[in-house]
Amino acid sequence: MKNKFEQPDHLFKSKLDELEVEVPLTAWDRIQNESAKTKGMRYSLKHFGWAAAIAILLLTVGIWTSRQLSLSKKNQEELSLTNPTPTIENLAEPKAELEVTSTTEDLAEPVTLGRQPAELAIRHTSKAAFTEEEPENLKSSLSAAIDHRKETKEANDPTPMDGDQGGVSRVLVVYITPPVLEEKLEENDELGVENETGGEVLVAAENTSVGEEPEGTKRKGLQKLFKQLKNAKTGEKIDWEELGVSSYRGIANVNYQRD
Amino acid sequence: MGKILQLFSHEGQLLESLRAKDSRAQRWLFDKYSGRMMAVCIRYVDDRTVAEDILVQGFLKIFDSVGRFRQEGSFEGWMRRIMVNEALAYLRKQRRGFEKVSLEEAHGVVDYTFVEQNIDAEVILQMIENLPIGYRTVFNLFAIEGYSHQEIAEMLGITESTSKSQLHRARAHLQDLLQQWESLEKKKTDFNRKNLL
Repeated sequence: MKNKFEQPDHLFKSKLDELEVEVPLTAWDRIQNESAKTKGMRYSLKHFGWAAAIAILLLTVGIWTSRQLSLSKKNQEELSLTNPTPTIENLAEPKAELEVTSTTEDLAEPVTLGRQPAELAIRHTSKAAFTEEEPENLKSSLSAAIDHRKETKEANDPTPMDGDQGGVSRVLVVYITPPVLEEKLEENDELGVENETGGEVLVAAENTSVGEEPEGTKRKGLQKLFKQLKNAKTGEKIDWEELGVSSYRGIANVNYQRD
Repeated sequence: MGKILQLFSHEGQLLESLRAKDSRAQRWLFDKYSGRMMAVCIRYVDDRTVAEDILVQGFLKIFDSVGRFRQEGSFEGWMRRIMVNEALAYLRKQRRGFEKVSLEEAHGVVDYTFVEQNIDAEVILQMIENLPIGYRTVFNLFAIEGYSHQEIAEMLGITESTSKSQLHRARAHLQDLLQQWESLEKKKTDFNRKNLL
């Protein structure tokens, strides 16, 4: 016998358990439509998901590669900054080590003696002074200057230098004292005086890459050099300071070296 | 239809077909159980349109998650639980609380033998539909689905004592309704007898 609380429960359960209510006809159509929608969404998620994953992967690889490239570029720039290519500006503001060999004794000697072994002079300095008397000596000096520049360039730059493509070698010849005129030579012969053999020259050689320095600075440097060359030809005083050669600094460096 | 019924005469075959997303099996299942499931939905939600929405969502869930049915209980019971959960989810969305409604409690005694023999299921369903939402939900879960108060409390996010009190009030109200119906029915039969005589 069920108690008074269980009786209604049993009645309702027994009556409602098997109860069926009429379902609207639209219900099945709605189920089909909804399932078609979800199927479509699943299909698109499956396929577009793969496409999205591939796109993200490619994007990541692209970003990583571009970063690597920019890093390597930066490294190359840093390397080039630590090992700069010599230019006219570099020559105009010579460093202490260069100045030791390029002033006082080296420059004084050709004036008095008129001789200086070309190759030796070029090894120590980018500016070499020698007489124009021996053309072979001059030639060897020029070639030695170019070779020396090439060597230093190759040593500084890790990339191999291609003669024609990598850069341009320039040799600047400046007459410190003009060559002896033919009339004077004849005069000396008549007088029986020993001839002075010729003018003294300053040779500067450098390698420059194409487009390495701006046109303006090149022109300025050349203008300075040609101005001094003109001064030398007309017998006027050469402004060594303008060419970046200071006798005072040279002496100071020589003294320093001796100490 | 007869051929389809033969095709899915065994539950195992039906489940295999449903897992393979066979549309014929899905249709067969819908045709066989939609009426019963609709009755379940209406017990929880008094609005028939909302009940239809719950039915549609419930069947979609059944078709989608039939692979998770482990055949530990009856398949119909599993479907019924899905429908009940869908209905409860709807009620949670509506945020309809368990309001306390003062109802007149039955003072007389119901003749359950008479009621059980004469009352239609539709009338019983209407009685449940007329209950306040809190009473109705707890009564459905406890008396018809067979959940314990602890389970109901967890499902609805209420305390066990609330569940018990809601059930008590629901029962009392239903008894009152049943008593009213019984007295009306008895009056009708008496009137008919007198007319016949």
